[in-house]
Amino acid sequence: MEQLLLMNKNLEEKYLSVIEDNVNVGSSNAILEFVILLAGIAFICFILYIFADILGSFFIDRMPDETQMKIENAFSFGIKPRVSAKNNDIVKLENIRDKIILLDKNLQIKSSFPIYEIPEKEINAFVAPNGTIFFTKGILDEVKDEEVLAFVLAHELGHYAHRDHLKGLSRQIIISVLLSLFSSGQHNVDLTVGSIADLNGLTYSRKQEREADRYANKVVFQLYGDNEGAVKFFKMLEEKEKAPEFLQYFSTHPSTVQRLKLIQQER
Amino acid sequence: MGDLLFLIIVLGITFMTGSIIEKRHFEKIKKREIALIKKPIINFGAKTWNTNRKIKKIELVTGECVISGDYFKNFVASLKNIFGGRLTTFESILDRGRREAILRMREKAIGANFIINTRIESIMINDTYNPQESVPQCAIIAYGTAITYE
Repeated sequence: MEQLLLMNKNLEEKYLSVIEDNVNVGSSNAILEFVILLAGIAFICFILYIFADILGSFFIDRMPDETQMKIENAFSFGIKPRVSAKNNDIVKLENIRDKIILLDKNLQIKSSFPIYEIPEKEINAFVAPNGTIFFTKGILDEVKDEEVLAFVLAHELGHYAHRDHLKGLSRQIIISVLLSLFSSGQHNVDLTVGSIADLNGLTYSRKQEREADRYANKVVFQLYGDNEGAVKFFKMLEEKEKAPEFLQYFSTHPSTVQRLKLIQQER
Repeated sequence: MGDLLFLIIVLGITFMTGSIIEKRHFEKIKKREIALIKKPIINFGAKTWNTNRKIKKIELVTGECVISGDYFKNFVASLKNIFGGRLTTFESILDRGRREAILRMREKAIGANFIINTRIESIMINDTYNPQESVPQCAIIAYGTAITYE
């Protein structure tokens, strides 16, 4: 009888210890696991991006001009400016444009680079895939200095000369195909991979902007012999914007401070 | 970028709430298991069971439990789908579900001497034809025959 009691007591202790240390639940740290998984996915995305970049720039740099024009016209079907009236600012810009085009062989015979004004307040300018350049009303009202306008125009033409629009497009197509194969339609994986892809796309965009700035800087030096105008312009922008520096990592453009530094270094 | 920020916030919040809830659940389970350690005794194996004593009552007892992982756990698990390996975030859910189901069964059989022929099964209550939109869950049912002596 005593033995039975002892056995029961032992069994009880055994049960208690089973309850206390659970072998069925892994003891790994969930956060650590999450970070490792993210790192793995980021690594795969990184390799895919390198692949897409090499593939894209290999073919696009060797693309003949005719093909480029064909693609551009196909993509810019329907781009029509809302304002057609030409004012003095536009005429001034067109004169500068003709000077810049004479400097670079890459820009000749391709597009006529029409320039239009769009009625928006913010300071911005952009180039459409077929070479149409848009200036906002904000920038035309704010900036009267010819050197600055030349810098902005050369920056946009630099994007076109580097075929940045085609590179961005090819990269996006390759990446979206590869990544959708990779995530195979799972929502959560799509979300993660998409976020990584967005951040990476922004980095790429900032790289393109820096290249365009370099190009514009070179052009301004060839035209005027210095880049005082551009430096002044960026200083003005810097005073205007109050965004903290780290936000550039979520932006398509490098921070104004960095762009200013880049231009000042290049002189 | 708003999407990314939102995702990070949701993941952080669900990780915290999920781990607090899980910790409390485990504590509760432990307490109940210790309280129920003596009775009724469960028997998982025997298909035929003999006794010389008179039996007052035979009864089917069941314990059911449906448990879902939190957003963070599901997220990590779906990322793990790419590389493979143990879904450690789901292990704790399965364990919680099983213990909870057995506890409920035993609590239902309080007063009985034995639960014989106990079985544990997991069921899908998901929409199996549309797995993308169904909720990841873990449904467990434990059942057995409770026997009370006179």
